[in-house]
Amino acid sequence: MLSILDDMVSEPRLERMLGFMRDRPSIAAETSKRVVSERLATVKDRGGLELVLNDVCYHEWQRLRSTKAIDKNDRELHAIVGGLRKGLRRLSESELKDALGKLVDLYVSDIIGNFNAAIFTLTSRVIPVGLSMLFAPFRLGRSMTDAGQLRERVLVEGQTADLERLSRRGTLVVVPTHLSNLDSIVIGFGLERARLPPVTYGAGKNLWANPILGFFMRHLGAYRVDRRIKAELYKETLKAYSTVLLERGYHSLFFPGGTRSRSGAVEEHLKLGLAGTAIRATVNLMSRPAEKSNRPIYFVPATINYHLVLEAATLIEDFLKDAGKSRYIIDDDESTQVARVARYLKDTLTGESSMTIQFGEPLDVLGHRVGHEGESYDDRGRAVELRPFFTVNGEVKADGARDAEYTRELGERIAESFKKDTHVLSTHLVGYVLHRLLVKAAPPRADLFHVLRGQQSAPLPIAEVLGAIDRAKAHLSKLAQKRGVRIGARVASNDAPTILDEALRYFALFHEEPTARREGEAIEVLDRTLTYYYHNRLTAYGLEEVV
Amino acid sequence: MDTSPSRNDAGEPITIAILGAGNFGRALARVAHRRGTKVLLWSRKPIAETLPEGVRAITSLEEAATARLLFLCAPAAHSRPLLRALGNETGGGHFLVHAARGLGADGEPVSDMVRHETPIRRIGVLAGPLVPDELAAAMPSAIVVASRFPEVPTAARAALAQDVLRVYGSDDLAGVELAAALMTCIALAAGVAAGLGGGISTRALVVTRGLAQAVRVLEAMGAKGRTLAGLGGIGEVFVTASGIESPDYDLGMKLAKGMTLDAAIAALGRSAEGPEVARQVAALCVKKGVNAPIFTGIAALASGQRSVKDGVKELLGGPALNE
Repeated sequence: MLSILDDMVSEPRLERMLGFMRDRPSIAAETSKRVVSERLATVKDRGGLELVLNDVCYHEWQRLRSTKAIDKNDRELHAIVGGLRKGLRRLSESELKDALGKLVDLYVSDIIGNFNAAIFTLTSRVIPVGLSMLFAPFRLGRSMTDAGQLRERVLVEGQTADLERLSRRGTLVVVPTHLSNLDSIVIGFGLERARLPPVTYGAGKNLWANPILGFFMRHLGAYRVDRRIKAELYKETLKAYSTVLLERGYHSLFFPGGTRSRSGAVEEHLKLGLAGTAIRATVNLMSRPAEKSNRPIYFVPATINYHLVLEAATLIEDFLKDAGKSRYIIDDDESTQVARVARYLKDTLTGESSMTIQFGEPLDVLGHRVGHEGESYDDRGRAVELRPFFTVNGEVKADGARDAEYTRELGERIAESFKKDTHVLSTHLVGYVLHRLLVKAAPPRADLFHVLRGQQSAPLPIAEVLGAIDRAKAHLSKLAQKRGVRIGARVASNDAPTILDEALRYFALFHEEPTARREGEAIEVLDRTLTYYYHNRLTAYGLEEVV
Repeated sequence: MDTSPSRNDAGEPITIAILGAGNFGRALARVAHRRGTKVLLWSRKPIAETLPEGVRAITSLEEAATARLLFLCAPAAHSRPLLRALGNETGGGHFLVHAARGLGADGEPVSDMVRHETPIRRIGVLAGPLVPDELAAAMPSAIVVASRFPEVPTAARAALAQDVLRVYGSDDLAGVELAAALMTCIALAAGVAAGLGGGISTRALVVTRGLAQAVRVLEAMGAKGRTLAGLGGIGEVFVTASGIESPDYDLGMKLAKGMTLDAAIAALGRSAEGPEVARQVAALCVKKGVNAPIFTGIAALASGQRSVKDGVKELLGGPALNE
């Protein structure tokens, strides 16, 4: 173990993260200071300050009343909020400011979490070893060799050498698609494989209690995001923390989908609160005198492509329940069950190239394409300078409305990148075809729920399924030539019967019952909901014209 | 309202560039001049007529780009090459407000064209009932500038707003752009109605049903139907469907008299966006499953697939259901 540590310290790409331990107290202090001073600059009078504190009291009182799991931070928060609720009006203005400061400090300490420095330094090496521990959780001694096997199972694609060069020139913000709670671990592994630096990222606080993921969270560069806290002040603190990290050059990771895709579809509408912090950090850096530390920020979209998704069954059920009532936080899904995760990994990783991480083309904070040396280009390939986009009367200034719009446009670019960098795998293609054929076999005007809950219809004739696979593959291949999507290597090289066989093999692997299986000269769909889930991965490509 | 001459933060008069010295470009130049704004009026060829002091005719896009706020007053069909050339001279600091009434190929809004052909991001559209003679006679009126960036209407207001001209802002860029384009078709239809001998009540019928159908088109495109009740929708069509300042209305009149589209356009002597917009909207209606018979009817008329007589018969022959 110690030799690994020595190795790592000598690697320049890790220096930044190792420095984090030294930096931590000043990051925390700067975050608190910023949130408080920005808040005080916007509230005009005592009434405004009371409104801010009222918002915290209201939301936190609601939350703390209904939460069972209360930690040390929560208890302190409870005490402050309790005091404020009783006597907000009686407090002097300086006492109110004091309370604001205390609340922000508490939020910052909650977000930063408690790192163990010794373990933290192992960050990137821990990932593959840890994954292989999941792979064979009760045989720790063999973990190193299993890590080798893992390397063959997970494909990492993209211009990683370019990204590595950018990571030395500037600060990376990795923005992957989000399907599974395993994503953060998988992407960490992908970064390590691509010789890219480790990243810091915000992980839902609910995951810290997850027996498997919590282990990694505590030991990786994760900070905590508590999605149950609705107070504006908390959200501001979270954004300020992320902004400070980016300004100081810490490579970061956000899941712009916000939460795991419930439907299984590639994310189109992104939640960009944290991505907006990269624009804010850029403005802040630009408005400072040029220093060596003022590194530009680059976005790196990435898709994580699984043949099978660990939590598919729970997620799609949640999606179908009612979009409006969907549970934002699921803390009792497959990813909390050690045995299931282990089985998932063991089962899926025994297939060949079970998951593919595709790193996309890097973008600057305004969504421009970025060249080899980190320079930005517009749509017509002309070099563009970023500073004028943020300049007002000759001065670089933040502007909430303008920057929100820049962020929205950046989100569109990231979504486009997701769409064209999605890999079509056999389970997606076959899932798509089977669901569409079920829709066609259903009575006219039947809605989705009819199709999904329908009586076991006659099995689908295999010739029909194969024909549809061929048509869908031809359509997608044409799209892939125009760089509209990527075809997984095995889908590209195999014929329809082989693709179907592979998908059925995958479908039989992990989920409770096989999603679909072959019955003589027909395919029987046993789990229509899961079929629908895998189908959803390919809904954005106009396939309904051919299947 | 601030009606003092426009000034930037340094206290100097604001300079804007207007690209295109057609009827609308020249009218806009006069509006800005009246506000005390300095104008660079760009056109491909030198302008012969004498311009007021403070309005300077130029033919260099590089010079036009010395202004931060640019107004594009060229027809949609001619916009792309102009924008591509402009893109070489501009950067992230520029604002561009276009006043095109048409759409690009495949129904592409001009704002998207700006986005693709230039590095400019802060894009807006200007629409509304701007009648130069009335403005010159100090009759109060209003226009709208829509952009997703609030800075853009603010900048346009600083350059144009005056005692007799109110400059409203809107964040529905797509809606105002599409509304202004759709209004050209309604003006054309109103021209046809007038050309066939219809009265004001006939034109009211055309405008009302046209607006009802336009709401469907806007909503199908994800824009706000309510935007049609604004200056870019009803404000504009109120003027154009009365036959004022509208090449499309005049074109409709000529078509009603039996001229072919080509002959009518030749006789018109200026560009009209209505026929091309109608074609784009008709294609869109098919794709999105929207029922907008006035627009599809004009498309068929413009392409010569249907005679004026048949078109009217078809429009009036359908059942009148709930509004």
